[in-house]
Amino acid sequence: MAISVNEHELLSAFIDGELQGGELDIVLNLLATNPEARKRLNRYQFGSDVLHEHYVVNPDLDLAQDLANTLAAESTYSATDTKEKVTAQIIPLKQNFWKQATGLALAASISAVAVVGVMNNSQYQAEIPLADAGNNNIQQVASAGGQRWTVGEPEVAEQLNTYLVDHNEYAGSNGAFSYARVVSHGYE
Amino acid sequence: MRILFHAIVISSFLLTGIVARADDESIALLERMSIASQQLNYEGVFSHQRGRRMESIRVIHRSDEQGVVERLISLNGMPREVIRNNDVVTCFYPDGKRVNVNRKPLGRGFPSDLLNRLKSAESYYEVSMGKQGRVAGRSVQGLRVKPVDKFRYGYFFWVDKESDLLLQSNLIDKKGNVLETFAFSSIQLNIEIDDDLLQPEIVGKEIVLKGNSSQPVDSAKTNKPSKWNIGWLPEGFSLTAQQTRKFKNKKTTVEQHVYSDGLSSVSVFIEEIKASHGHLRGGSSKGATNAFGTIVDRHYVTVVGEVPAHTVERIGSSIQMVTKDQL
Amino acid sequence: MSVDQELVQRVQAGDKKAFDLLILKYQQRIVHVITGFVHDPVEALDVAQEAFIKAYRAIPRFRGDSAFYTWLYRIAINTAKNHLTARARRAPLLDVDIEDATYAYEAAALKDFDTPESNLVRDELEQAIHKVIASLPEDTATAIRLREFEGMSYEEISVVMECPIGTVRSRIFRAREAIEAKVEEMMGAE
Repeated sequence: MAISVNEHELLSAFIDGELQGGELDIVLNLLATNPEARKRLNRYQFGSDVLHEHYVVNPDLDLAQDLANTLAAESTYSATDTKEKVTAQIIPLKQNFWKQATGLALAASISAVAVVGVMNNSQYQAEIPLADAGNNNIQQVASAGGQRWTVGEPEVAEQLNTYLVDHNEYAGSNGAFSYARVVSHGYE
Repeated sequence: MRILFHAIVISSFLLTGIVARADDESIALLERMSIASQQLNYEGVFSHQRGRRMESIRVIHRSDEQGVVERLISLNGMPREVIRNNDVVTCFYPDGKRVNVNRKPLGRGFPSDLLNRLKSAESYYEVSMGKQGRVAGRSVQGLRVKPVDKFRYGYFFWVDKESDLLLQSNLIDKKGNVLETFAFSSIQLNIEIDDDLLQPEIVGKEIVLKGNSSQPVDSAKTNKPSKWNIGWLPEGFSLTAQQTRKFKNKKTTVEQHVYSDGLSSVSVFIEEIKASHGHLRGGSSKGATNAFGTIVDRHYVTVVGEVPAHTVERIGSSIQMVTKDQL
Repeated sequence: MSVDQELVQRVQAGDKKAFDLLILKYQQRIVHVITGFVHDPVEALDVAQEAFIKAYRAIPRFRGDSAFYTWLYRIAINTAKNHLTARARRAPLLDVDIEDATYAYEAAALKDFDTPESNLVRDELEQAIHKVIASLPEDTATAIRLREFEGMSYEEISVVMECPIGTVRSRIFRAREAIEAKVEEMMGAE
C-alpha cells in the first residue's frame, strides 16, 4: 500500500520525537495497517542508529513483530490498573519520606550548630571521624552528592563513566586510597 | 592520590625550608604520613562513601627491595580490581568487560616526584593540626588542609598516631560539607604479605600480561604537542600528564590532558565528533566529581575532576583549538 | 509531554500498538547494549526480547521519574546480567601486551562472534551514510547534522538556520530518504 510523502515525513518526525497534535494517532494507525510504512519507519530509525553507532547490522530487525504473539498473550492494561498501583505505592513511601526528612532536618540543625562552632572554634563538623560521631552518617547523607551522573541519556552516563575511569587512573598516584575511586566507581 | 598529594605538600615544606601557611608539627606529620603510605606493609578494609552510597574495598600493600605492589579489590557489587606493580597499573572491570593497562612514566607520582609536587601545591592550601579521634579502633591525629580560593576543595585527614599511616580522608567543600570519605574500618600493619595475595582473582587465567614490565617508559615520547589551548585554569594548576587512548577494534581516539595543583586534579577529554553517540552538554555531577561538556570545532570536549562545578565549567568554556597561525 | 511519555500512557491505558512503536524506536540500541554483555548475536536477540517483555510487564508501575529509555536501558542491563549469571559465562581470553600502555581492552570488542566480515560491513555502511550526508544540498546536510550530531530540537534548528520548523522537518525527512535509499542499495531489498 502506497504511503504519501506527507506520511513519510510524519514517520521521520516520529524518529525525532517531533510529532504534533494528533499526528501520533496517524503514525500508530499507519504502523498497524501498512507494512510498507512499518518497514520505512524501521529503516529511518536504523539510519539514525547507524549515525549514533549503536546498532546491529540488520536494518530490518523487527522485534515487535517477533514478539507479537507473546505480547498478544500478555495482559492488556487499563488506566485504572496504573492509577491503583501508583496509589498503592504512595502510602508506604510517605511514611519513610517523613522519617527521612526528620533525620535530614536533624542533620541540618547539627550542621548549622557545627557551622557556628566552626566560626567560634575553627572546627569543622566534617572533622569528626566516622567512628566518633553518632550522627555522622546522617550528616554525610545530608551533604554529599548523588551516585549517578545527572544526565538524561544512559549512553552519556556510560561515556562519562569511561572518562571517570581514565581520570581516576591517570590523575591518581600513590597512597592508600589512590586507586580506590577507580575500584569503587566501577561500571553501573 | 589525594593523600600522596597532601603528603607531598608537607614534605616540600620541610625539604625546601619554606613554611607557607603551615606549622612545623603539621608539616612533620604529613611527611611521616607520606613515607608510611609507601614503606609499610598493610592489609585492611576501607569504605568509600559518597552520599548515601558506601563501597567497601580491601587493600593489600607490600613494600620491599623490589618496590611497591598494591592490590585493591571491591567487596560490593560486580568484582573489580586494581593492581599496581611499581609503575604498571592494571585495572580489571566487571565480567572482564574491560582491562586497562597503564605504564606511568617513572617519577610521576612516586617518591622521587615529591619535591616537585610539594612545590606546586604549597601556595594554595593552608595546613594545620586538627583534633584527635579514633578510626578503625586506633588513635588518630587530625590534619586540616584548606584551599585558599573557591576553585578547589579542601581535605581533612586522620593519621594513625602509632604508624603515621593515613586512616581516613574527607573531601570538603567551602561550606564544610563532606563530599566524599575514605576510611579504614579494619587494618593490620607490619605483616608478611605473600605473592598469592597480590594476584588478581577476577578473570584468573584468562588474562595474560605479556612483556617486560621493568622497562621504563620514555616520557618524552608520550608528550606530543597538542592542538588545543586551555585558556583558564585555577592558579597553580599545570599539565601533569597527557595521553591518547585508543579503543581496540573501535574507531574512537580520545586525547586526555591531566592538570593538577599537586593536590587536586582535573582531566580534559577531547574526541572528534564522528557520530552523535550521546555526549554531555553542560554540567553534571556524580558524587564528589563534577563534569562539564561542550563542543569546540567539531570536537567533544569534557572536563572531569574533583573540583567545584563552576571550576570545570570555567575550564571547559576556555578551551580553544590552536589555529594554524598559532602553531 | 514528549512522544515517549504519550506512548507510555497509551500502553498503560491498553494500547499495545503503542508499545510496538516503542520497541521499533529502541530495539537497535537495546540489542547493541545487550551485545556488550552477551556476545553471541543470536543470544543477544533473545535477551533483548526478554527485556522488552519485562518492560511491558513493568510498565504499569513506570511513573515517569526518569526518561522512558533510561528506564528501559536499566531493565536491559539487568536482564543481560541475570542471563550471564544464569549461564555462568566467563570473559573471552585476552592477551594484554604490557607495551600497549595507551589501550583499553574491551572484551565486547574482542568477542568471538565479531568477524572481520561483519566489521567491514559496519565500516562500509557508516562511511557510505556519512558520504550521503556530505553529498546532500547544504541546507539539508546542515539540518540532519544539527539533529543527529548535535541533538538539537526542530525548534532549535529553526532558530539556527533561520527558517520555519516545517522547513526543518522536511529537510530532515529528505536527508533520511537519501540515507534510506543508500541502506536499501547496500543491504539489498527484503
